[in-house]
Amino acid sequence: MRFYFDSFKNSKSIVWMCLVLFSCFNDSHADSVWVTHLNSGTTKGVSEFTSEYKNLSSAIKSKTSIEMSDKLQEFYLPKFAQPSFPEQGWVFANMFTISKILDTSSSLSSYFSQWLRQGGFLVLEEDVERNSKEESLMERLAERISYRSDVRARWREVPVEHELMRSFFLHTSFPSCKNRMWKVLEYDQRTVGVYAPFPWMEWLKDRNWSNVPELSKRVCEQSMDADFLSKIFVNMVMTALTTDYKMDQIHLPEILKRLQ
Amino acid sequence: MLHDYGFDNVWRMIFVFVFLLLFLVYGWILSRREKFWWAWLTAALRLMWIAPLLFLMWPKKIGIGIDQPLRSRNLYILLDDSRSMQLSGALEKAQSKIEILKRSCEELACNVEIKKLSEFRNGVRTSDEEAPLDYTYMEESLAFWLAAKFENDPVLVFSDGGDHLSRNLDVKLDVITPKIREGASKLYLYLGSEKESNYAITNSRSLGLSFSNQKPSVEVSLQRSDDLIDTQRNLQIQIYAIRPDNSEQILVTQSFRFQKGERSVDVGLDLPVMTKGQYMLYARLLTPPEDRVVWDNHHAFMIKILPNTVGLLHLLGAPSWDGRFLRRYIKSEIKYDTVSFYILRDPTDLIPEKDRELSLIPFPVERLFTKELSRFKVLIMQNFALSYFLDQEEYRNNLVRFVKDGGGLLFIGGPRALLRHDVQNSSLKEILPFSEDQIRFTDSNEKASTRKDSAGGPFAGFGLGRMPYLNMHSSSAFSFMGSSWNSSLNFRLKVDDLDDSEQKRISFWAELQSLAPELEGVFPNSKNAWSGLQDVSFASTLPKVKEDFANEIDGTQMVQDPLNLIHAEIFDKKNSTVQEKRPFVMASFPGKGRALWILSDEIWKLANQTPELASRGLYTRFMQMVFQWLLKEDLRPALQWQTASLQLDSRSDLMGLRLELSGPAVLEFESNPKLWSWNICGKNFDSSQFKVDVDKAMESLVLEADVKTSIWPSSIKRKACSVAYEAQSPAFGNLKSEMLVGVQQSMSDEEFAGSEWNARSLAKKYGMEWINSRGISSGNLEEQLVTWIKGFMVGDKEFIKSPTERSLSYWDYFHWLNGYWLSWILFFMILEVVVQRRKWIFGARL
Repeated sequence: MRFYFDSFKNSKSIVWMCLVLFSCFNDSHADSVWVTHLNSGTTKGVSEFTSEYKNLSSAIKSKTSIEMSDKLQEFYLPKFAQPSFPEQGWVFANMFTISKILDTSSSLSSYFSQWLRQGGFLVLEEDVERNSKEESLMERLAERISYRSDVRARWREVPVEHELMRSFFLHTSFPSCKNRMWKVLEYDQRTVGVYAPFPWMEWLKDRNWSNVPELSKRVCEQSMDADFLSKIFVNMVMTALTTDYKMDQIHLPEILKRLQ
Repeated sequence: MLHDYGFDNVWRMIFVFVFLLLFLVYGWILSRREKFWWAWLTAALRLMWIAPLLFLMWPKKIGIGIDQPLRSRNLYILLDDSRSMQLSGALEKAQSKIEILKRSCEELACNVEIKKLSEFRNGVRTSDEEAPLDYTYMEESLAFWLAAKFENDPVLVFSDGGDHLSRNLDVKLDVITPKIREGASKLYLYLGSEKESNYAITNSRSLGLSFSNQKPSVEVSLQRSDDLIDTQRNLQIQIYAIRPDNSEQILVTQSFRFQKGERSVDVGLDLPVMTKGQYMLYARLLTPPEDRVVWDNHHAFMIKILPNTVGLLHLLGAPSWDGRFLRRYIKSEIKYDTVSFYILRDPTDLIPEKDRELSLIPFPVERLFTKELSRFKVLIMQNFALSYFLDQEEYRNNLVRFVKDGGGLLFIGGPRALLRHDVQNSSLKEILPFSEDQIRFTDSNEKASTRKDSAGGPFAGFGLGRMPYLNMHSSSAFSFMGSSWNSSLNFRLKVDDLDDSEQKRISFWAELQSLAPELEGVFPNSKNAWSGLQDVSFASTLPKVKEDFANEIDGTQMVQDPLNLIHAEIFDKKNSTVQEKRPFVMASFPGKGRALWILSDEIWKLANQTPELASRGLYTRFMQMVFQWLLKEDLRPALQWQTASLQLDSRSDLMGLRLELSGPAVLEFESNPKLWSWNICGKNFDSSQFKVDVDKAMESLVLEADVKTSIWPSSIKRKACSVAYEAQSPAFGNLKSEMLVGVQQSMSDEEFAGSEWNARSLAKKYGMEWINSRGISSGNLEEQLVTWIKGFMVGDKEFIKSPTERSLSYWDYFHWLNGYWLSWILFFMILEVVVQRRKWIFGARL
């Protein structure tokens, strides 16, 4: 049995198609994944959801089995210091927020790194205005995660054989931005974070969706389109949720064959 | 350097305050008998000339000083004065360096305190007899010396790295080092001979664990001294074990090569398949003639052979956070051989991209559920739409048969699990811990039809005539198949009463306890084995059940007579009253097999429940218990050997014993050490005869002792003997283990001359900086030492604060009040004349 295109050749699939079309009219409140933005503001709490990612959510839902909400939730830094962890296993943050984590208080950076050690996943984005101390910030974050641990955390450029390249779509490279590459943060033989060299989650918001080529041209001096960035996002969600599943021996031969 | 010790800010403020107070009081007194403005002017004029007099009490001081520490600093030196140091001339070299350091220290106002290695022997050894001079007790002395309180003073070791015992210095090095590295600045100066041809085994790496159906592998690291680097050399290495009759059993011999210019090399060796048990094995370099140091050609390591790996089949209905965390747990256990299939894409998904652009592979359901299923011991179904993906009745029947025949089933819920068809029409209902009547489906309202699909397929019972109400996950077509899952609810976990008189429940906990003795260590209350989960608050999806389901579960109405182990109390956030109870974790016993039902897809949140440094602490422990019960075996031994070493010092007739064990049973040691007994080479010991170190965080127990060899018969002087323990505790019952360990012999300085590798290992182990004198000219070496000591002293924070660095305060602008006080008194005294002659100056108006 094959659970993709050829599935639609039989009558069962036609019924499925009808179900999906029907389900499109319903509003969902229990999606299993949504974007949690780590906000450097001082409010001690979590904001209500705001609808920002309808296009992205549709892309995920229509292509994968993941139920992703179109909502964005703000999780404020002081909440981490209480400590209280996000409802989701990941957070999206920019460089400024990371600098706040590392410089504001030791308890905040301690709880944040503890959360990453315990299984959290960080999506780190470059700010619109470049932070000149980005490299040292990233290294400091890696050091903080490794603090009092025999296992070292380290950033490295995404190698072509990394699960991020293969977790759903087969990519051969990710777009760089002014010679800055995508990176992954690895700790304890797993990926605990991804660094994007441009503010892609801002670009993927519904209001910017159609302007991505223009925005990317201006910031990165090369044109990208939202569909392509959403495919990278799909791979990242898969990497976060399934870890290195695609590196299992049972998958590798087939993947390598296709890559050839 | 100028030093200004005038007023500090506090005194200045006090002075200004007193001055103002005087002015106000005096002015007020005068104003009662003088005209108002004249009274205040008089007060001001008088105080102006009196004020400098008051300043005399706090004169400004200017002096010249030299920055120096507040307390006198010491430089502590340990000098290896062993025979090998004397013979090589290194001792003389060390003494000349010490003289230079003494001179530097005089300039820096520090004292040099020197200890010789020969002074330490009696302090370290338990024997009263003096050890012979030609034996170097390097590591023991160093450890003893470093244990002294040096505060933050620097310490320096001069040594050639010679030691009388060949040790496995790498044992637990990573654990020990961080503890020792904190504190004083330490330097190890290696003073080896210029030519020391040496090959050495520096380390061996194995997982420490292998399986009886696999060839264990080990990697041995070797290195050679600088004078040999320019040659290419073929050598041989052996791995051997020692039999009970003291003979050696060679397991493997392998050739390897040092290429020209290569200092170190790693050699991988595959050992033969071994039977279940724990083994102490030895790596041995077959000594080439040019190797002048032979003691470091051996290295011991331990390996445990377990029964076969455990096959797991993990089916995940859709990527989720719960899936991520479970995968991490499974991958972290070396014993699991896992085959995973995750449904990344639903049949309903529309992807314009071609298959070759995707990494997806088909789900091989036929192969798995007709041919391969019996290879696995546990099947994990996580948020899995069984009736759709196992679309043939045959597959579902095979799954049920697998469990009934003795397999384990871990069911983890989620919106795609427990669909109407799974519960009503599938053979799965034979092993479900509840009946279809006890579950409420999204389409199972009072008016819902119960018509069955005549085809018996996954859409059985589904029809547009009774479309379910859509309150959850509506974008998923699975909800149309009769989902039973609520949207997120807030609840507390409650571990069901362990004192329940029901025999089955008691036996369940007893068995879990026996399988997982660490539960006692993890949770202090012995009755409450899963108490770590007690009262944990959750927000998660749960299956919808009848309101009285939780009560029924304890009764006899259940289909499979399951055990409710943990239930969820759904509560009202406002007043915390319990609104409803629902099952959360259940166990059932279908046929010969076992099934555990976790009715939530957010159990991963346990990983963040406790502020532990340990990764995913509570979650991992919970899963360990789950799998131990499903597999009916103990995956994590309560107590196991980490290392055991017997080192015979034949000259002093002492046997150095070091036993290291790990496991949760260690946590019980301190409560009653008398219940732990030891047998070393046939002689019984009790725990009080050892120096004991318990590390609760690492769950490790280290016992050390130096014992007179006279307590053993002469046969002790053999290659190996047995080491055994027996431990008893109400928490874990009776544990015992025996192992054959090789006896290592001590070596004199003649046999064990200086060793760069040993010195380097000691420096690393005790967190010391490292300087190798070989290849450095005497002048450069002296310069390095002086720079090191100066750098340390200058870096000291406890210096007198230099006044030149003090920032200017407002008051500094008035320092002339101090410096020229006499002039100003004389100058302002004129004002008193003005006061006294005011009527003459200003006329009779005043």
